[in-house]
Amino acid sequence: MIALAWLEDSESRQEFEAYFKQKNKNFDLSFFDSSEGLYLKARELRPHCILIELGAKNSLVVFNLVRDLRHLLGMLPLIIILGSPKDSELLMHSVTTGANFFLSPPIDLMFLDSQLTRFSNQDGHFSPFKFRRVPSGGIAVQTKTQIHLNTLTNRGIWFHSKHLLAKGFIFNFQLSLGAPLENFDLTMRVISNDLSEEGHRYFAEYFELSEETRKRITYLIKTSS
Amino acid sequence: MKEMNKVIFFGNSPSFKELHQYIRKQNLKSSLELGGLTALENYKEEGIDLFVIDLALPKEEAYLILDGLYKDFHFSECKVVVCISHRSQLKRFRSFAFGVHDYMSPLIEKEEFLSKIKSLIHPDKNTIQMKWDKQVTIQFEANLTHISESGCLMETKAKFHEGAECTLNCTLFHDIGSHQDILGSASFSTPSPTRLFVNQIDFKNMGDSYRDSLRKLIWKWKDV
Repeated sequence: MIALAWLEDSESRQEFEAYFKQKNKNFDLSFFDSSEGLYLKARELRPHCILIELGAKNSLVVFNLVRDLRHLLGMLPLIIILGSPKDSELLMHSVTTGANFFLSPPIDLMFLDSQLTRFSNQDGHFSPFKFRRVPSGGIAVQTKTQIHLNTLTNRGIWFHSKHLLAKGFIFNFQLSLGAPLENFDLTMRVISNDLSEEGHRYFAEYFELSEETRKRITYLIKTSS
Repeated sequence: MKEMNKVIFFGNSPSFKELHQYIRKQNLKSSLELGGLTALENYKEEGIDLFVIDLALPKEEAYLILDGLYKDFHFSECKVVVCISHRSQLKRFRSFAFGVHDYMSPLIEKEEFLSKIKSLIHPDKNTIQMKWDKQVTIQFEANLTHISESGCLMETKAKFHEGAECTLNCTLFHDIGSHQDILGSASFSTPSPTRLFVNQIDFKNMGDSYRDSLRKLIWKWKDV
């Protein structure tokens, strides 16, 4: 299998070189110093794994590269972003532009191992023998899941979720507020995401909310607290 | 005496300049930069409260400024609002990725703009909030693309956490006679080239008879 890496930090280079040589011998790892070099090689070799370090690079270049690689190579290559935990917002965004996941130092090699092993079996997951394509290309499916709501404001809500929700993700939920309870069917849009100790933390604003409802919610928040 | 708040504008369109003129008259210390990443250097040592950036700047300069701001100011020390000249969702989402706090149209009413700026500089003054510690159910639409008798693949802007539970409801389940939500468990998720995530959901509570009907339905598709 082929792995390509664009890493700035020489320690990271050594660490991954040693890892792929000693532990994951199936992978043939090559290093690059530019996004163009990596992209051209990826087009030629169709790699199975790509490592990109955010570091001091222009994050725009990294996002564009991830997006282009995903577009070029489809779903199968494992794209991993490396970066400092202080760049959590950028790291999360890299996943929404096409990376599979991100890692921060100290690199959890056991986790990496498990992901690479899983990736090796990925073909089985999407095998046409396992799933059949829906004739019309797709069917709308109403999906429900749980989030943990933390704070309610007149602008939107703060909440935690185990899922990674991209900015712009739109969802509905019913808010019961006040006494006697008043029910509001609200549409929300995620506008910020970040990492916290409890997991992914989000702020979602009210989306296309009428001024009247906003005023009512503001009043109920004021009087409830 | 409290120092005046400082707002820096990056942009050169006429409507943008008008907004800057208005803010100047409102006892807010502000400067207008016509563009250029190098101009950012001048503010490194200053305490800036807010940057207002026009995304219509040529050659993606606005994004370079956003990137520079992130690196030099880390966004924790200042707020950033972008001005989007048309209804481009893509531009909005892209700018959010740089840590932008809010967005606005250049056609925004001046009073509303001032209120937005004030609420960004002093968020606690204008935001009313209350603690609300509880689990709630959210609902959203996804696109079911592949199916088997034991699970399905669906595309959405959410990357499901492995093992997380969800319920699904679509016309396909009605076709096989099931009118209740199907309980599922996420088992795999990967990004797709279309900036969505493909999530594999395994069915958990589908009865044998429904499973059988689904199998028959899928086999019919084979013949199509």
